[in-house]
Amino acid sequence: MEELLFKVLKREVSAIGEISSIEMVFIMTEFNDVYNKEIGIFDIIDCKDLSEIYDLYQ
Amino acid sequence: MIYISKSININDRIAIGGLDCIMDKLKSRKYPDVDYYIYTLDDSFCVVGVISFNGSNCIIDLHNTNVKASIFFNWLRESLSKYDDFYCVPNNEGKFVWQALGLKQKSLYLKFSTKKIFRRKLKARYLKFLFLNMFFEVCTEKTILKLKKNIYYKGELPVRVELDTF
Repeated sequence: MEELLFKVLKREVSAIGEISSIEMVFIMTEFNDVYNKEIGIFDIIDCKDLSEIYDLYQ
Repeated sequence: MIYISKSININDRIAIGGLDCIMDKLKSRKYPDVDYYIYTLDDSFCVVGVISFNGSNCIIDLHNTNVKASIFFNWLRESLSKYDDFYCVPNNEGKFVWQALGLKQKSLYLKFSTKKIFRRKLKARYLKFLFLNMFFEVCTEKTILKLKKNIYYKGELPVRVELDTF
């Protein structure tokens, strides 16, 4: 998942606060496609850190 | 009308370029009936502008400078919650925001029409398009003139697609 995140953002991030609102949408779209899920943007922005986002797609 | 949330004193709280920086983002403030919603906190702010055309609410400005994603999306949802329905024709990046908020989308087309000539005042943007846009209306019915942009809407398509840029 870290690799996919890097692929989407084209840079490394260590905290969720480094991700802009539009990037959050890109992450949601890409992760939903790859993991075949329908996680909404409000589920993702509720995450306190990156691991919680990964948990959504486990 | 401009609605500001979070800031107590807007001039004291905005660190990046002051109030002018925000005002520059209000591209459509020349229209008297645009409702602008602004969120500011320290060195960040976001803006959304809504104008009512013939009973339909059109989002004409959306901008985010450094506001955290969670705050931005919750603020945007809350700001727009007072509108039963709304639509927008966003630029390439803006469309992702509306897709994420679950708005429906439809392709846009141009159709020949002479209505603008009779019902509207002459506007500066007509000059920009060499007055060709006076003879066309934006619509969702399929024609041979397909636009590159899509319309995003919450509930129902507006009866007439009015754009402040065309």
